Amino acid sequence: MPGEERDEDLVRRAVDGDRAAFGIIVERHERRVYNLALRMTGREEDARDATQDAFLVALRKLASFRGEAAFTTWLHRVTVNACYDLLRKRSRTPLLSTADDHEPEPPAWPDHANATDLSIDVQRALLAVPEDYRVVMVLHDVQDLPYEEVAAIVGIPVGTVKSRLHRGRVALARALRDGPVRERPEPAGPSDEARSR
Amino acid sequence: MTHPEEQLSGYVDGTLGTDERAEVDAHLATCATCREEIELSTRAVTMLRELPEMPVPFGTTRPVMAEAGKERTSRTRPSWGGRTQWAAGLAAAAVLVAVVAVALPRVGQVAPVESAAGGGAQATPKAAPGMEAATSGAVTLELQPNADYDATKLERLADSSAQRAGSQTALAAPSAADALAAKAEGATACLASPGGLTGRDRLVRLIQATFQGRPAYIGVYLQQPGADQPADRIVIWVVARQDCSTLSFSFKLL
Repeated sequence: MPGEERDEDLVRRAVDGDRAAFGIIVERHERRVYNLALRMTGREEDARDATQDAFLVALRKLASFRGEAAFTTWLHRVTVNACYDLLRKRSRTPLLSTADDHEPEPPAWPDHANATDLSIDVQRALLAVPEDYRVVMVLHDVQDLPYEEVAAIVGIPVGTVKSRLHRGRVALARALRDGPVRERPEPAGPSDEARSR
Repeated sequence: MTHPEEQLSGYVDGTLGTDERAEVDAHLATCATCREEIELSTRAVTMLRELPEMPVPFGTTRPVMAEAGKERTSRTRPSWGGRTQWAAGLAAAAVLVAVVAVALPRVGQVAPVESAAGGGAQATPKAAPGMEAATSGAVTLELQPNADYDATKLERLADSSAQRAGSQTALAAPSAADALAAKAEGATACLASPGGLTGRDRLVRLIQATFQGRPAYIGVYLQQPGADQPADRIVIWVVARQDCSTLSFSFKLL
């Protein structure tokens, strides 16, 4: 991108105390980070929280970013971890609820009013796919990242990315075909063990 | 039969070389399962690619920028706004300010900060009331091991704290249990460590619980708009017990 300052240069400036540089980093990447979180968590509110968590962690650990990986790879990894943390917390929350907390579980689909019906169905089906498969699908099929980068972000071999991608896609299509995803958006399926990471 | 799972995604993506593709084709000729999966996978990819990119909701990264600001110039007040966005927008805030202006005399009567600073005319409020309370152990640490807070519960906490702010006794309950006093010291120091507190923040409640599953300290503060003015908002900071990092920051106008 000609004329645009490189991420790595902005990071260096931010580490040196330049607030504006961090602001540019956030502005430049918030859309990608948010959409990754939205597809991973399925809810606008969770996606906002995960986005905030990801950038707060990035801010705190910025100095430890050594430029061995591309900054975007690093930021994606931080975001994926934030999503996993949030999903883990969310799955645990009901156990910790107090007695007076009888609010219904919030719907596990996006509340963007302008999303099309089909994309809402796809998002719900996505939540029915185990997280470890979901993450490679979101990164590769939704965000269009190459296998190698997905592997670097998730920290798994490229071959594993490819096989998870395949299994995830099949699971998604089955969830859409078989339904009823509408009733029960809870993750389910043959690879439940993959979620207990 | 072993299925070439790794290659099936590449087959659908069209990234296989000629030889690999021929291998997969040979397998598909004899494997109905993989033929079905290829069909399903192709359909899934089409739909995933069509998922729209959504705009980032307004204000999502505001707390991040506030945090970034604090990192560089600690002790300056963060820009207002919380991840939960209680104030329903600037217009609503403006209305609230008007309401607060009417309601303030009543709040002022019961806020000790007001009476303390009121006598001293222009005198700087002794040291920094917020920081003093934050380190004096004047507020008892409430242990709520079974409570897990989230944005909704924080808002309820703000509401109940606002009500208690109306009954003076609850404001600065003396530390009853000495055993807890030391822990309260640690908790208040932890809350103060991100550097977001100002001299105008006065600790009124200190809670040990979890926030979205993470062990946390929750500090409820009354904040004055200026040194010699009565508090006009409730500010809630949530920090991780593990490393005192900020988990949530939100406020509500009184």
